[in-house]
Amino acid sequence: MDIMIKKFIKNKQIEREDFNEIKQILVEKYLGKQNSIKDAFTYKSKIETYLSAVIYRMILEIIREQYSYKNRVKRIENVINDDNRQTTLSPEEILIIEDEKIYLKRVIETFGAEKDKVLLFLKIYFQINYTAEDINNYCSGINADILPDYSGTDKRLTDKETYEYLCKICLYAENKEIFPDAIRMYLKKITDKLIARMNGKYNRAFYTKESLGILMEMVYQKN
Amino acid sequence: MKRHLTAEELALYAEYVQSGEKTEIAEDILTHINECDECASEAVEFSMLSKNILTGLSDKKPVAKKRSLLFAIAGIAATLLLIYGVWQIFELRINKNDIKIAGKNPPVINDTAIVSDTSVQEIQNPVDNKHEMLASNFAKDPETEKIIENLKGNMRSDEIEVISGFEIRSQTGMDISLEWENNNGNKLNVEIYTNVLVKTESAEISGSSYIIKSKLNPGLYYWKLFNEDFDLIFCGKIIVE
Repeated sequence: MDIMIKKFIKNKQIEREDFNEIKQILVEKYLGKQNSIKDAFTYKSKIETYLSAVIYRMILEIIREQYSYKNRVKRIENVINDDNRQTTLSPEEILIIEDEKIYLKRVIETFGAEKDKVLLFLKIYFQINYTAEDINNYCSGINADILPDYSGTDKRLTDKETYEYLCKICLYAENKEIFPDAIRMYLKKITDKLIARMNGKYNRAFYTKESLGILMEMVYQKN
Repeated sequence: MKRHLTAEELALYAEYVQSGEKTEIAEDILTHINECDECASEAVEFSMLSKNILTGLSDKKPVAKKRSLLFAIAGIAATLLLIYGVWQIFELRINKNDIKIAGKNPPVINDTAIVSDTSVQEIQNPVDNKHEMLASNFAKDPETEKIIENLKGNMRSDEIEVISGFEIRSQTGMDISLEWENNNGNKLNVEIYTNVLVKTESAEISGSSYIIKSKLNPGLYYWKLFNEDFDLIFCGKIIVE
């Protein structure tokens, strides 16, 4: 219980001085639901993992009722959105970014069978260098002619040019003729979904399309 | 699955992710996470938060289930072999003393005979029982050994550097000092465990050393160093001879 609360403190979702108060509320909640918690356990997972999950949800409930995420959100936004991005980041900022990078990768994994397509499309959309592995994971044997080339150029593709590339890729990979407007709608759907998952049910962050693009660049751009 | 994930399903997903997708998970949980934004973000956040609490293993080094099972079997086999060896020595001593004292055929070995036969009671050597106890005090805990192996004596913090090393050897009655560099005076937590993971001592410190207060009998012990958020920084062992 202590460890889980401290994790939330570390993530700035709870203030350090509120540790004892949160613990008190948590213990009361837990004792009140002890029997139903025990009854709901079916022994498929480890008991410590299960109890951690129960406590995690209880803490989220307490936070939703009593706290805001603004401090943490502000920190992530300040780091990710800074247009005059510092070349040297503080150790705390480095930690935030490293956490968010892992978080993004795990969120992309939640797309299941579609994750390879989502990753390739987003890389092309945000004009991040994709790899041969990205292409092979989605569809092997694609002709390089139909793939956009960002290397050695500062020219950014327009949205229209990007959609046209993605139409050709889709035609090859899925044998489907798709219009640019359908690509645009698909990209909007997956970016909305990704942003919703990154921001979470209780607003752990307030990612936008722009800040998501910056984070993707940090994770996947190889210089 | 139309309902949201239960707490246990959340737990199963965290174990699945932390094992590097080596544990089994029901397909409908993955399908639901794929389809439900709310559960997907909750599942990812919980898997991140629970990372160090549950396993103490690095994200970059997923442990194969098969390898950990083999390790556990090897540990159990070694312990059984040790106990069998001690038992054999004990048996030989009884038989030797029986011939010496009684000069007759050894008594029938059943519970009643042992309880009522005073010659057998007299030859029961307390030193042999002690050997068996000592042997079990040195038995390794497979999970903690796995953590130490994965850490390989490396720190998981840039600010704290352990000087004592991941194996400390000491004698009974001697002070055991655990030392590290902590130039920023960070608050740390140190915990000492027996080889069967019973906590014997814990303390919060902000210095750069800690002398173990409990009197440690001969045996294997483990010690863990945590930062103030209870992230595991270091895990090592202490062998008291």
